[in-house]
Amino acid sequence: MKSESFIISPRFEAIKPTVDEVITIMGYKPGTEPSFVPLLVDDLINEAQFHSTAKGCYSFLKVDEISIIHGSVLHEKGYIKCGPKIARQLSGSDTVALFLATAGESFDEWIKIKGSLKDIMTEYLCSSIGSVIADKVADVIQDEIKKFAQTDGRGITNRYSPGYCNWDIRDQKAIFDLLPAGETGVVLTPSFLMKPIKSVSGIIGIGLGLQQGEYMCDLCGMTDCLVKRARGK
Amino acid sequence: MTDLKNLFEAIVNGNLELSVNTTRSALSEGVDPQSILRDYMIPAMDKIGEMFEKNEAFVPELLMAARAMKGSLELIQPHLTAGESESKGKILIGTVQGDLHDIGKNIVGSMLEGAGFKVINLGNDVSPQKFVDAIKTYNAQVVAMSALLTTTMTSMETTINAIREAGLRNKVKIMIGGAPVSQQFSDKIGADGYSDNANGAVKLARALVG
Repeated sequence: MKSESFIISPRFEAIKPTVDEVITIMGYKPGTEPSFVPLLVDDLINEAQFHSTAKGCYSFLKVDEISIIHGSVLHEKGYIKCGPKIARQLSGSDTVALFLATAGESFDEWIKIKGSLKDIMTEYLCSSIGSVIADKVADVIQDEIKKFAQTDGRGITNRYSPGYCNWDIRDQKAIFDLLPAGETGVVLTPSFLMKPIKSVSGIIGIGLGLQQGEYMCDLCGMTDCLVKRARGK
Repeated sequence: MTDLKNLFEAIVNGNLELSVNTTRSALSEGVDPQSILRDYMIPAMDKIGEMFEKNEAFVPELLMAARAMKGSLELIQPHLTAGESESKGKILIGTVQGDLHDIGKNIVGSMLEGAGFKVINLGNDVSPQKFVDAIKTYNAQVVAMSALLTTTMTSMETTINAIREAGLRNKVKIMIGGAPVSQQFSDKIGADGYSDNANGAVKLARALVG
């Protein structure tokens, strides 16, 4: 059982967004976007490599009990409230991995600079690129966790984040308390907002017989999600 | 003779150059500026707004349309009579205290500008006192507040209370928006309205200023 934490600093090439990934989080089905959008996005992705200081960290915790009724994961160092919906998805985990991923402080600064030029279109596109980068850092972490699980024949669940699927964003503090967040430069504000903003935290279950599934938009109650729109949900 | 349908299409398609050139050409031919605005420009923004609400257009198209609209508005405004040229109203917009999200609020601000409002953007993490001070400084008709987190939306109520305590509540209309808020929340905290998207925010602002 691993108990230490792991820090990653992926190369930009490993987390470089594709144009389709960026336009999808804006709500488009690829191929339906106006022609100027992919051109601008492509240019900005190339520019983004000079501003991304992406980092991530993760650690493993042995699970004692998962309570769907209480919506919590009891683990070796305490417990995490995650809500019944996510607790159900984590059922069968003998271990959970907590993670934190960020596009980095300088990426937030880059978005701010674009915003200060009163170019809201570029600011919006950069923000969308940053969201994809943070997510792709989480992908890299998820792949490492999956490889670790597979070494002894276990599988992993999808990843889940506070703020989604009725997981109260205030519970994010429990994740930060158990991770070396300082190593990634991400801080949690008193209002439980991550800084840099282009960051994502969450949990992944590990256990025998667990499998990643398609992302289940129906699980999440968000009604104004652009990815849901693009998927026609 | 300028075909003003081109202006309508230019705004819907976010074509700034065509929008500005068509407007300039129509003005030089002596077309009534109020008619250009009322019959072509505003309907064009309404059209792109409708498309957005039906998922036929997304934020980039909205922003391009607002930019084209703004370009034409700048040409039109000097030609309007004094009464006509006044902006539709002055709106203070800001993300409430504790919240650092900026872009959704900026998009709404841009759309409001495109609709002819004078927008004063107070930024993010805006304290209740800063909203109060800005109402006094700018003599605004509307305060638009944004929050993206359940943990920060409570600052909206704090801000409304501060505006009330400063004796300014009857002087401004208050509208709110952002992922976690709802009409129910708007009613609960005593706001005047809520919108869940940028186009709805424009409609709401128009309704609030009457």
